[in-house]
Amino acid sequence: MECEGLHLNIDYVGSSGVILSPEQKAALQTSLVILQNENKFNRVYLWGKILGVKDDYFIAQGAYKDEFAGRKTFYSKDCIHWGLLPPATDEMKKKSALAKGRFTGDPSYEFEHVETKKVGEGEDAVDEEETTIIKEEDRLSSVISEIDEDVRIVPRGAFVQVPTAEVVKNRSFEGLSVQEAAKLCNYMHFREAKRLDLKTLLQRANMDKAIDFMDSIEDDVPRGSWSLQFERGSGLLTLRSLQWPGYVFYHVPASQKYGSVYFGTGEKNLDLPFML
Amino acid sequence: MYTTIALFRMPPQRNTLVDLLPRRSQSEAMEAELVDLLNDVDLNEADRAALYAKLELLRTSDESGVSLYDHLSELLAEVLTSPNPGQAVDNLERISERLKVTRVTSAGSKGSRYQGGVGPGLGSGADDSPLPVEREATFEGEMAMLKQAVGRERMQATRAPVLPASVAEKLSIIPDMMRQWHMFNMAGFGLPASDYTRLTLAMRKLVLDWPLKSIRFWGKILGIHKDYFVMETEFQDGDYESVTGSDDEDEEDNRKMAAASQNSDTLSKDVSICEDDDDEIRPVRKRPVSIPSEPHGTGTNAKVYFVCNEQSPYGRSGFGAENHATFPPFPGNEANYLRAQIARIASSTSISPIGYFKFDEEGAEEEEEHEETRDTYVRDEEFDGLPSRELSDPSLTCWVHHANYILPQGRTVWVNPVLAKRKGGQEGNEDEGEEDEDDDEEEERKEPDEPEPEFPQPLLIPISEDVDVGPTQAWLARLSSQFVPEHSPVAVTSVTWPGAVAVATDRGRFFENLYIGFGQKQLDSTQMEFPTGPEVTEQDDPTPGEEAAIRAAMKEQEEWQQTRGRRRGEGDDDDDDEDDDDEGDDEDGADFDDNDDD
Repeated sequence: MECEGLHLNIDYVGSSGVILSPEQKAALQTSLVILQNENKFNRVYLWGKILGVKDDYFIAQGAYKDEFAGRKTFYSKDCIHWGLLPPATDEMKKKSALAKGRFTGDPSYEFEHVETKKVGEGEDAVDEEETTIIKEEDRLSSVISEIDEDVRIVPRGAFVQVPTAEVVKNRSFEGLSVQEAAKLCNYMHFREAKRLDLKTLLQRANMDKAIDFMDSIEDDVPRGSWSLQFERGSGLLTLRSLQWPGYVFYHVPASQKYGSVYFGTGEKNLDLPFML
Repeated sequence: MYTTIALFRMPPQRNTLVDLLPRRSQSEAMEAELVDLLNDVDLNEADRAALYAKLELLRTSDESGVSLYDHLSELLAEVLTSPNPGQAVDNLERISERLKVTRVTSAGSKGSRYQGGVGPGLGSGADDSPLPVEREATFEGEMAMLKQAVGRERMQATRAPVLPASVAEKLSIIPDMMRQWHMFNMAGFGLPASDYTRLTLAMRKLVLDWPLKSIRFWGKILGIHKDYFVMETEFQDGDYESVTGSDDEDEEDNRKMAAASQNSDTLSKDVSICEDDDDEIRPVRKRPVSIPSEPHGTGTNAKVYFVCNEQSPYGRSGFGAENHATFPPFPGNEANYLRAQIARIASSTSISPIGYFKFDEEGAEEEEEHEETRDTYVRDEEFDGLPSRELSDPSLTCWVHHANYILPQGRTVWVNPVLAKRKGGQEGNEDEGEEDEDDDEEEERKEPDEPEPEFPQPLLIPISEDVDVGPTQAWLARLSSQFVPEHSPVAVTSVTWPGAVAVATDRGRFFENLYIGFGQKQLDSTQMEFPTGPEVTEQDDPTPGEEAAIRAAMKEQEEWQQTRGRRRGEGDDDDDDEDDDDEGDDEDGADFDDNDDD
C-alpha cells in the first residue's frame, strides 16, 4: 500500500480485520516520508505487518523507478526506526523453510532445526544430529520475498513495460470496471513472468505486450486459492489469498485506487489443498 | 462511503446518451428476432438483403469472441462520450484499438462473449466470479434501516427520538459498540468504525424482532465467497422452543458435528473420530449410539447465534445451505459447520480478566453432592480492576476462561453413551443428574468397552493452563501503546485460534472478546508428512551383480560354518546331516585328546 494517503486507504482493507491504531498511523506517516527522502526512493510502500510472539514487525518497501528491480525492504518494531533487511538468497529461503513456529519478535533470535540422520549401515547406524541455525532476520527476509513472489498482485493495466524493459506505473490506468474486476484473469502477479511461455501462440497473439507481461492469477495452483468479494454493493473489491492467510488486496472499481497489505503471522497455509 | 448519509445514492456510471444504444446482452435476442423475421415469406428482396447484412454484423468473430455489431456499438459509445467528438475521425483507429486491447477475455474460454454494459446479471459461465451486486440495491436497504432507526417522531427540543417504553427497554441491552470500537481501534484490532455503526443498527433490528436477554457482537468469519458476521445472543428463559422447532435428531446431529469438526483438524493419527464410532468397528455390529445434544439454554447451546452475510441483516444467506466437501468428511452443511466452529472458538477463546466474574455462592450445597464443575458465574460488582502491568504479563495468570469447555464428545457435560443406550434412549436432559450418580455406581461394573468418562476443565481457570501450540504458548499478551502506556488497552491474542483477541481497558473493568478470521485452528504442524528414513524409504533391489556376489559370500560362509561345526562337534539341530554329526562325535574325542596333550 502506498504510503501517501495511508491513513485513508487503510480503511479499505478494514473489513478483513486490518487496522492500524492512531498511534501507528501517526508514526508511519512521518517515518515513511523520511525513509523515502533518505534513500531517494521513487515510492515507498507499507508492505504489512508480521506478527511475532513478543513483538510485531512492520515492513516497508521502497522502490525506484523500475518497480521490478532493486526493491529494498525495511523492518521496524515501533514504526519509527527502520532497519534494512538483507535480500533473500535461494539458500536462505531453503533454510528458512525448515524453521517452524511463529516469529519471536527479536531479530537476532536464532532458530535451530535439528535433523537426525542415520549414518552407517545396518547395526552400526549412529544417529547423527544435524543442526541448522536460521537467523530470524534471514527468515523474515525469505518469508517476505516468498509472499511477494506468491501472492503480490496488481490489476491488469496498472503497470506497463516500456520498450527498455523497465516496468513503470501506467499513468493512464483508469481502473477496472466492475465486470472486469469480477474476473480473476484481470489480476497479475507482480513478478517476472513464469508461466507466460506456457500460453499458446494464439493466446499470446491477442495479448498486449505492454500490459500482459506478467502472469495472471487465474492459473494459480491450487484452484480456488483466491477469495474474491465485493463490498458496499460493487463499490470495493477485496481479494484475499488463502495460501498466505492475511494477504489482502483491495481495488475500487473504475478508479485508480488499489493496494495490498499483508497482516499475518508469516506462515504459509500448507493445508490448503485439503481445505478446498 | 464513510461520509454522511446523504451521499449514499451513487450517480449512474454511464452517460444517458449511451443508454440509447442497445446493450450487448440484447444482441442475442436481436439475432433470434432477425432469424424469425427472415423466415417470414412475405419479405421482398431488398428487405431480405438488409436483414442478412444485419445478421452478418452480429456474427461473432472466432478469435476474440466479439461480434462486429458489439464492437461498433462500443466504439460509437466511446466516441459520443469523449470530450472531443470533433476529433473523433482522427482518433477513430486509436480508440478502436484501445477498445480491443482492454477488452478482456478469459484465458480458458475463447468463445465467451464479452458482456459490457452496466446491467446486472453478468458473469461469464467460464469462471466462478460472483455477481457484483448493484450498489444502489444494497444501499436502499441500508437507507431503510437507517430511517427506521432514527424514527419518525422527534422531540423538538432535543434531537432524541421518542420511543415507546417497551422498545426502549429492549434496546437497552445493546452494548456500547462505539466504546468497543474505540478500544479495539486503539489496540489495532477489529473493524472500521462505519462497520460498527452498521452493526449497531443490525443489533437494533435483532433485538426488536426476537426475545433476547443479551446480545453481543461475536466477530466475523471470513469465507471464500462471502464473510459471516456473527452475533451472540441469549434468549430469555423459556423462549427457546418457540424459536427453534428442531427435533431431537437435529440436535444430535449438531452435537456430533461439533465433535466431528473438533476432530477433523486433528491429525489423522486419531483412532476414533466420534465416540459412537467405536461401536461400528466391533465385529458385532451395533448401531452407533448418538449422543444427545444439550438442551437449549445450557452448555454448548447456551447461546444462540445469528449470522448474516452482508452488513445489512437480510438474514442467513443461501450459502449456508450448501454442502461442501471437506476432508475428513463433515456430516452436515455449511450452516452446521459454521455453528460448530463458532461453538469451538467461543468456548476456547472467551476469556476475561480474573476477578471480573465470580462463582455464584448460593449453589454451594449442590456442589458438594456432585463433583461437577461449577458452571454458573455472575459478574462481580465489586471488581476493582487490575493494573495494566498485571494484565499484560506474559505469564497470563490474570485472564481466565469463562466459557464452558467442550469435551471431545461434543458436549460440555459428559454423558455416558452406553448408559444412555442401555436405559433405552431417554432424554438426556432430565436424567442428567441421575445418570451422573449411576455413573459412580456403574464404574465398578464397568464393561471393557465402556468409554472413559471425560472431565472438562473447570471454569474460570487461568489461560496459562492452555496447551501450547508447538513452541509457542497459547496466548500472547501485550500492551497496545508504546507512547502512552498508562491508558493503553491490553490485548491478548490467541495462537490456537488466530484471529481471536480479547482487549481490556480501564484496568480491566471494560473488556471484550472478538474473533476475526477464517475459523480455522492453528495446528502444530500440517497434515503429517510421511517420515523418511532407512526403514521407511523403499530400498532398491540388488542388481544381478550384487546378488551373485552376495550368494557367493553366503556360500563361503556356509562352508566355513560347516567346517567349524565338524571340528567342534556341536549338535546342530537344524541343517546338518546325520553324517556330519557322527563325524563330529567321532572326532570329538580325538580333538580333546589333542588338546589334552597340548
